[in-house]
Amino acid sequence: MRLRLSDVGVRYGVRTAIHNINAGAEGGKVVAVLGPNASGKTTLLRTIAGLQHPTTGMVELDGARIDKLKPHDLASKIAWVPRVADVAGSFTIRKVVELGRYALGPSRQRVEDALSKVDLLSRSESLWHEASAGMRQRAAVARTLAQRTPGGVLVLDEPTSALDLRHLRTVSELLRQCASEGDIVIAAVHDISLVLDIADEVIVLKDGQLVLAGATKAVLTPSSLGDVFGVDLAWATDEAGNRHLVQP
Amino acid sequence: MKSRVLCCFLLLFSCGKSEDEQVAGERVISLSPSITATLEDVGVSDLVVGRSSFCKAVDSNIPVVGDLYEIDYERLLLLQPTKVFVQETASGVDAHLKQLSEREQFSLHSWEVNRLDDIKKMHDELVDILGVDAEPMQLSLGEVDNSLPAPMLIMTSGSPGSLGICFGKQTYLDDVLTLIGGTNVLATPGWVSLSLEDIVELNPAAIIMVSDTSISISKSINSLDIPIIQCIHEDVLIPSSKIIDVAHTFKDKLLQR
Amino acid sequence: MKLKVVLLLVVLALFLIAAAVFRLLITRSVDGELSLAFPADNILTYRLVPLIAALIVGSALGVSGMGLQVLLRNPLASPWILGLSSGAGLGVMATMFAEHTTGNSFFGGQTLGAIAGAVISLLLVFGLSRRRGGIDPMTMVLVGVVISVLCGAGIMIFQHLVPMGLRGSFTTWLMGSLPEVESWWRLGILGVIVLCGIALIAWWGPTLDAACLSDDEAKSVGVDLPKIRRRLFLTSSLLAAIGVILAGPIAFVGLIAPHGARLIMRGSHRSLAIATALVGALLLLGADDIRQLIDFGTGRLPIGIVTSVVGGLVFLVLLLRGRGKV
Repeated sequence: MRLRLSDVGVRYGVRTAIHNINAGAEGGKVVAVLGPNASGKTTLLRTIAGLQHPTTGMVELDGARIDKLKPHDLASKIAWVPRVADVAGSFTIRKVVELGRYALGPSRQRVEDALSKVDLLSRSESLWHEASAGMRQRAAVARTLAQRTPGGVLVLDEPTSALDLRHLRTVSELLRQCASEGDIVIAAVHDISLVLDIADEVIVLKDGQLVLAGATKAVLTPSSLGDVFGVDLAWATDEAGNRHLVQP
Repeated sequence: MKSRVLCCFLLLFSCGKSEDEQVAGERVISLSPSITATLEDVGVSDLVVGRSSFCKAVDSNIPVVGDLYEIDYERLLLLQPTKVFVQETASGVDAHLKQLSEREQFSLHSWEVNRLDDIKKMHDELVDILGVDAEPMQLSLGEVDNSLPAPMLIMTSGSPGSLGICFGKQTYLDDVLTLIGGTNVLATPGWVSLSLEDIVELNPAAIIMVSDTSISISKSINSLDIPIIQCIHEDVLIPSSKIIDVAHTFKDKLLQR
Repeated sequence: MKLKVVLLLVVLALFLIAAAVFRLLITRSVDGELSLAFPADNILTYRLVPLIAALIVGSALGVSGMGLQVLLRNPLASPWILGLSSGAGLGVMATMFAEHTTGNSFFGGQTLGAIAGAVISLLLVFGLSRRRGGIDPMTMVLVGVVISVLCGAGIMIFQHLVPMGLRGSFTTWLMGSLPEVESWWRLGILGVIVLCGIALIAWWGPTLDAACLSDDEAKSVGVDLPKIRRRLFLTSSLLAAIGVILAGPIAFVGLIAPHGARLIMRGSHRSLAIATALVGALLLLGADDIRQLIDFGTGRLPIGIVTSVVGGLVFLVLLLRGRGKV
C-alpha cells in the first residue's frame, strides 16, 4: 500500500489552510504529523482521509485518487478517528463501534475484538452521552479497529489527547500493531515523547506548509523543532536510556 | 259508502294536524346564533334539539352539533333532526351536509344574514317553514328623524390596545342606521378596520359604539373629540329578528344625546 | 431484529388496536351519557374516517419528525420547522381568497392550495440551504424558520384581505382537525404513500444510524451524506405534507412521537421508524379518543389542543422516567 500527496493544497474561501504539500507513506509505517496550532494538521489529515477534497493537487492511494472514490470504497480502505468524536442521539458505546461496520457488513466478532482491545468490553452498554471523554476517544479508536481492513490506512487526529497513561500506552501499542500488519498509520500527535516512541516517520507543518519530513530520529532534533515551535528544546535521557526532547 | 266516508274522514283527520301538532313534531338543529336567536324571538326555541356553541339564545344543555365551519355529523344524526338551519358563509353551505339532508331526509335551509333584508327574509321564511303564527317582520320604526348627527361611524368597542371593527355599507347595522334616518360615514362595504388617522380623516359627526356587554372607551378614541354614543344591547352583535329592538335602542340613544 | 424489539413493537401495536376499537365504540348519547356501542350504519363512516385518518396522519407526522431530527441533527426538529405548515396554510388562504374574489371554485380547491404552498416553501428551504452541493443542517433550520415567518406574514395579509366570514373558516383550519368526511380512494392512496414513505425510512435505518455520527465520521464509515440527506428531506417532507393535506397543521405529534419511541425502546432507526409510526398513530388516535370523552358544552375540542396538552404531559412523564436519556 502506498500513499502519495502531490502538490496538495486546501483553501477555505480566501484563507489557505495548506499548500504545496508533497509527501508519501508506505504500508507498515507509523507517520506522525506535528506542528504548532493552526498549522494545518487537521486539514491535512482530513484531506488524506478523503473527507476534504484538495483545492489543488491530489492524494493517491496505490495510484487511485482518493477524492474519486465512492463512499463505500473509501470506507473499506481508510478509517478515521477525529479529535473529538460526536454522536447525535441515544446510542450505546457498542452501537457506536458497530457503526464502523456500516459499509463492510456487520461482524459481531470484529466489534467484540475491537472493544476488548481498547478495554471497553465491560462498558460497552454504557450510553455515549454518559461516557467520559477518554471512553469516547477509545470508542472512536475501537470503531476504527472494527472498520479497518489490514493493509489499509488509519488516519487519527490526536487519538490520545484525552487518554490516561495506561490507555495511552494501550492505544500506542495498537497503532504499532496495525502498522506491523501492513497498515499505513498517520496520526497527529502533540506529545513528542510519544512520537519518538512509536512513529517511524514524521511530517512537520508550519503555517500550512511542510517544513520537515523524514525518519523520526533524523528529523526530530532540538534545533529543527525549536525553530518550528519557537521554543528552546534539548535532549534529556531517562534512567532506561531513552532520549526525550524537553524544554530546559 | 259509509266506509268510504269514514276513510275520508279519517284521512282528513290525520292530514289536518293542528298548528301546534305540526310545530311540535319538528326537531330543529340551528348552526347559527342568528337563526337560533330568531327562533327564540318567534317563540319556537323549544323545537331546537341541537345548536352551535355560539348559540346563547337557547338552553345551554342543548347539545352542540358544531358551528358554521365544522359540523359533528354523528351528533347531528343522533339528534334525528327534521330541519337543519345554517347560515351561509362566504364559502357557501357545507357540501356533505347537503348530501346528508337528501340521504337522511331532513330539510336543510340556509340564509345569509348580512343585511336587514336578509334578516327579514330569514325570519319570514322560518315562520313559514315552521308554520308559526307570526306576522312578517316589519322593517320600519315610524318617522325618520332628520336631526341626527351626520354622518356617523358605527364600531364595536374593541379591546385594550386595539380599536374595534367598523360597520361599513351593506351591513345590518348600516341598514339600521339608515332606518332611523342616519348616514354612515363609511362608503366601504363590509366590516372594516380603521386606524385613528382614518377616523380623523373621515370626520364623523358622532361615533356609535356598540357592545353586547359593557363598553370601555379607550383613551385613543376619547382623544379624538368626537361625540361617542354608547349602545349596549345583548343582541346588537347577532343579526337576528331582534335587531328591531336594537334599532329602537339606537334611536332612543341618538335622541337622548 | 431482536426479540425484545419485536415484542415492544407488538405491544405498541396492541395499544393502537385498543385505541382504534375504543374510537369505534365510544358513543355519547344526546343526553351526554357515554357508553360503548357499535355504531349504526349511518354513523359508522363518521368514526371510521377519522380513525383511519388518525392512523395515517399520526404515523406520517411521527416518522417525518424522526427523519428531520436525524437530518437536522436537532432533537427539537419537527415537520413545522421547515415552514411546511405555514406554506400549506398560505396556500389554503390564497386559494380561499382567490375563490372568493373570482366567485369560482377551483379544481382541487384548498387541498391543491395546501400542496402547492407546502411544495413551494419546501423547495425554497431546500434550495437556500444547500452548501457545496449538499444540505447544511444548520442553514436548513434557519432558512426554515425564515420561510415560516414569511409564510406567516403572507397568511396575515390574506386574513386581512378576506371577509370576516372566511377568517373564521381559516382559523378553524389552523387548529387542525381529523376529517369526518373523506373519499375512501383518497384515504387509500394517501395511506399507501405514507406506508411506502415509512417503509423507505425504515429501510434506510442503518444509514440513519451512521448519519448520527459527526459529518466526518459518517463519511469515513461510508455514508453518502448528500444522498441520504436529500432522500430524508424529500421523504420526510412528503409525509408531513400528507399530514397537512388530511388534517391541517396538527401540532406536536411530529416532535414528540420520535422521542416517545426512543424512550420506550432503544435500537436502530430501522425499528425506531416502525415504533415512531406506531407511537405517532397512537398519540393522535389517543387524542381523538380523549376528545370524545370531553364535553365542555361547546362541542368537541379541536384536536390540536388535545395533542398539545396530552402529548406534552406524556412526554414529560416519559422524560422524567428516562431522566434525560433523549
